[in-house]
Amino acid sequence: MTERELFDAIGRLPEHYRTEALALEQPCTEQKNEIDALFDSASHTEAVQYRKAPEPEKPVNRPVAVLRKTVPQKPQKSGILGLTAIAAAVALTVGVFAWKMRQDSEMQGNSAAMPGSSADYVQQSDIPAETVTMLPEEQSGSSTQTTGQTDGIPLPEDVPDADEMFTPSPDPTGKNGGVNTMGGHGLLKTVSNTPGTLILEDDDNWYINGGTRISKTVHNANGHLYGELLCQKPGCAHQLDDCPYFNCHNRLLSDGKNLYMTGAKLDGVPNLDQTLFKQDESGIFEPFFSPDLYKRVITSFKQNNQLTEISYAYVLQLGDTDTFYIALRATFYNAANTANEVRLFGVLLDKKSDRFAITLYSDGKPLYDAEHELLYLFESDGNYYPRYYNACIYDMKQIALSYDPEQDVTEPAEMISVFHAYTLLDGKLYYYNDCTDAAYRLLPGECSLYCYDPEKDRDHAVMLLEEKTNRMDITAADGRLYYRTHASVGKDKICSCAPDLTDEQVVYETPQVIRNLYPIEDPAFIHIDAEASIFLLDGTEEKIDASFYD
Amino acid sequence: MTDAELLALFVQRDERAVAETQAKYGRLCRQVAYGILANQQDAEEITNDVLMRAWDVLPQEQPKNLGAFLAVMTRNLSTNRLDQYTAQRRGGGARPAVLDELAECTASAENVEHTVDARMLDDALRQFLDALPAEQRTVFVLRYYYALPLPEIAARKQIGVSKVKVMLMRLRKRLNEHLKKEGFL
Repeated sequence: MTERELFDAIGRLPEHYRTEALALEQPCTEQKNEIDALFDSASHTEAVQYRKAPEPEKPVNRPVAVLRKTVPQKPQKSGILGLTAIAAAVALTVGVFAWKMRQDSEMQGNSAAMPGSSADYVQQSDIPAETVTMLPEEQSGSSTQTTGQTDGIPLPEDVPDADEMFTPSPDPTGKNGGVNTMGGHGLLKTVSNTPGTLILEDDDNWYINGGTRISKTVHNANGHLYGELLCQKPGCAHQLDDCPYFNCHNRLLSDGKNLYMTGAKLDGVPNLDQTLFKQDESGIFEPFFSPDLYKRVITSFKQNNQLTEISYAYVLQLGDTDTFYIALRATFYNAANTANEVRLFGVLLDKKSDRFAITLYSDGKPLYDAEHELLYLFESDGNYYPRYYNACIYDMKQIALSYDPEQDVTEPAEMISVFHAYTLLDGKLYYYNDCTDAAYRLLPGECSLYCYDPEKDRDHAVMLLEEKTNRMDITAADGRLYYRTHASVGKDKICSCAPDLTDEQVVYETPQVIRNLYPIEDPAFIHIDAEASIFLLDGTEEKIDASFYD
Repeated sequence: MTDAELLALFVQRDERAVAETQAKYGRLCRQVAYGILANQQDAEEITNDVLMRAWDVLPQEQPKNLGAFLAVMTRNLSTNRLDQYTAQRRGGGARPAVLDELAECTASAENVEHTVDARMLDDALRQFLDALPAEQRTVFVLRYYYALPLPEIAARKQIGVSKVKVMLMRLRKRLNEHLKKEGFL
């Protein structure tokens, strides 16, 4: 039987099936109009009329985000930057982690109390959490004027003009040898970029999750590398742009390779500017979007001419290509100048041709398999933790074609359900299935470990590797899988194995409960135990006293 | 304007009938046609053809659901044009997404093509649909009968696009299993 025969059989369905499906009218005018804009090109009258609807008043005057910097005295440099030193630096993460969590909870509490907080926005949104469409090709040639019409579509008035968008920070970062955004010297580089952890370094310091600066050269009385909180202002709520913690924690994004500066990250405070900067090779943060591209992207979100604020969740360069994936959140306002909904977008940008497509928003950290040219986007299925994801796998060879608006390739090539931990190794996705109780509590030892191999045919691509596994927090480095196990209290381990789960080696054992495992720099790892201490795992162990953060 | 009012205009041979029908159902027709032909120009032409035919036949026909009536007509015209393109080996090179998706249902491990009795297949398909909850059944029909885009289905059903995707993926898998069980694969 062919698909066409099945299609024809569906075409012979009796009337009651057909009428049942179309029985309900479109439930919401707004959604109808949204779909209009998604489906219709600018040539369709309905969409054009709709886009010409009066625009509500601009709600607030958003300040142009300008990163302030502090210029501390440059500490003495050291040429010794060994792995142990790096690990020692990152070993302080747990203290920062605890501190950060405390601060985050405070900030969330403050934020929740604020009218129109981001938490409120999400709760108030009743729009489907993601949108899939292709942008009309004809828009790619749109005007570069800052006002006026483009192909008959009026540009939203609140799109920042070019001067506002690209007003650089006074000194967004220093050139090599100069003072950079974080107050250190030299180029800021990403040391670790895992969910929940962003560790940067420059010539002078490591920067842990935006909260702590650890000098590479200054030791304390115990002989440990000396660290200090980035923000030492008593009572600081870390919500203003004169706070270095705020700037680092809320405005820096990394895809592991490039560093980006944003107006506001998702967990940061909204209502800042909407621009995105990318650090170039000399350490300067340059505007990521061209003015024309930025306007077209923003215009595409403004199907109903409501005002928008943008915050960014992920930016990911797809290998060495000119294509970038950006997950962002657009906040829309109603005529009463109250933020009334948030829509989540994923944007695929081809920087070379300045074309783009709107696709799935990824709640989880997106991954890119350069070998197979596959983009893994993770859409959460609920708001609880641990998260369940629908992993949508996009074949970029097809997506590249999809920039032609007449081709419908918005469907992912494959979708699989993925539990909270996942990692890519040798072009295969390793992940767990659902293993929680009714209260969504993780049940160690009940998970099954799966592998998705894109080289196999669809029916056999997903392989069960191990049922009821004790492996947790799986991550990949150095050609091996790393994970923690929790056989019983006092028997926690960090182990590694070959991709086929053979050749298991115990990397570290502890009587403590290992809470998290982060890859820092192959093959060094840290874990966080029950007492918020951190150990370096590169074959050696170095415990750092966390009392500094109390 | 209600369907009854539109039909009355057709009966009265009032030319506003076409414009009003275009305003109310033009988008639906374009979406159905686009879903099958994957070409916007074709979708526009098919929609115009549907309206022309509606002008011809609607005085005699009194459909209970005008939207479904027009959508069915659109599907039939679009399928005919797809056949023409297939025969002529043209059509913009774009294969309808719905056919790609349905290929999942027809794929079998042995990859042996069976000659299918159309009536038996129709029965099996109805069995499959009758066993589904209404929401899943209507999502299936909206996608594979009307070839509507996923955001449109999501909006109509007031669910997320991703839920539609997952639902369809599972339905395709179940249909594949059902067709295997019934001996079609």
